[in-house]
Amino acid sequence: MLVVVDSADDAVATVGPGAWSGVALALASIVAWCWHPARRWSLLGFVLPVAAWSWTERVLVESGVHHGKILPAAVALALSLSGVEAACGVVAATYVLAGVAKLTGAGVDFLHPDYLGTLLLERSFHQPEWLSTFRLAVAQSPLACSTMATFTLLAELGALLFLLPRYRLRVCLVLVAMHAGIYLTMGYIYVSWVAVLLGLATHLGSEVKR
Amino acid sequence: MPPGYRGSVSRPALLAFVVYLLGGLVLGEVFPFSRFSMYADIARRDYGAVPVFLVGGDQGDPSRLSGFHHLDPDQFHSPPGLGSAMDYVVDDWAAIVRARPAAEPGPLAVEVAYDLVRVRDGGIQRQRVVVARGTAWP
Repeated sequence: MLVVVDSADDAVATVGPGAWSGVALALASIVAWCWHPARRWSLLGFVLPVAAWSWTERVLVESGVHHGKILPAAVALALSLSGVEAACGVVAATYVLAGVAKLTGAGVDFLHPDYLGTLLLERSFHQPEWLSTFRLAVAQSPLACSTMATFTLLAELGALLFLLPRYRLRVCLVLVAMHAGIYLTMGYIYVSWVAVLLGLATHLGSEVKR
Repeated sequence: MPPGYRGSVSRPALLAFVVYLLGGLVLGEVFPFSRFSMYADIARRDYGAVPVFLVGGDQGDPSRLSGFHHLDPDQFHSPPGLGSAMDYVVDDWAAIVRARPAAEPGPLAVEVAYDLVRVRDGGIQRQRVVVARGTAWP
């Protein structure tokens, strides 16, 4: 198994089986829009989300794994219905929704270092020694925890800028950095999300150069 | 992407953004929508729950034991009201224990417990809760 999202473990890289479908969807999406991002892929955009939904329903997975498939599936759907621009709109909405959920779920308490510290603390054990040491140090640092929480919230809400083509690459890099930080501190790998971000950013680069 | 889109928001992007944002907010977890509420409720969690496998009171590895007696894997789940992001560790232990049943009590006392941990004012607070007990053979 490959570890993606909530079933991630840095010591033993295991990914829930459902995560593979997210990766497959992301790759399929990239291939689709690189070839021809038009309605030719309507059928694929229909089949892929249904397949992801079916897989989600059949396999008991953690919520993180579930979310790992939602973004690429929704992007594939938007891509097939309306092309790359619509896919970018879905990506922007996804991250803004995640930011809004934090504000409505925890409010300004999300920025309090004790809460993120506790979350990191829980993920600090059953890891290689260097990683446990690192995570324990971060979890007990109010400055590090508050900084990471603030960065995460700003990055997610700032993903609104993904709507603007000129900012997409920069937003993509910020979000990839955020995912890298989440992996390092908590072990959650959103491979399919990163694949979608990079795919869209790469696509944008080729368009702008023309 | 038409050239004119580069400096402004395209209509398809804006439409998809609005539809997906409203769909997620209103419908919640209805495919393909979601509220993406990962970690959003962290302020409601008082503790993190870290599973520990104890052999004779010390941390041990169940994979190094040959048989288990009266250690019920169904009791391994985290204490009520305390979800754990480390469930996959416990799942591995449960699989090992199920695969190696022992008919007779073993010489080693084994326990599965959770360390309830939290950070308060930059320091770690810890409290141990045992959820299952049994014996094992080395």
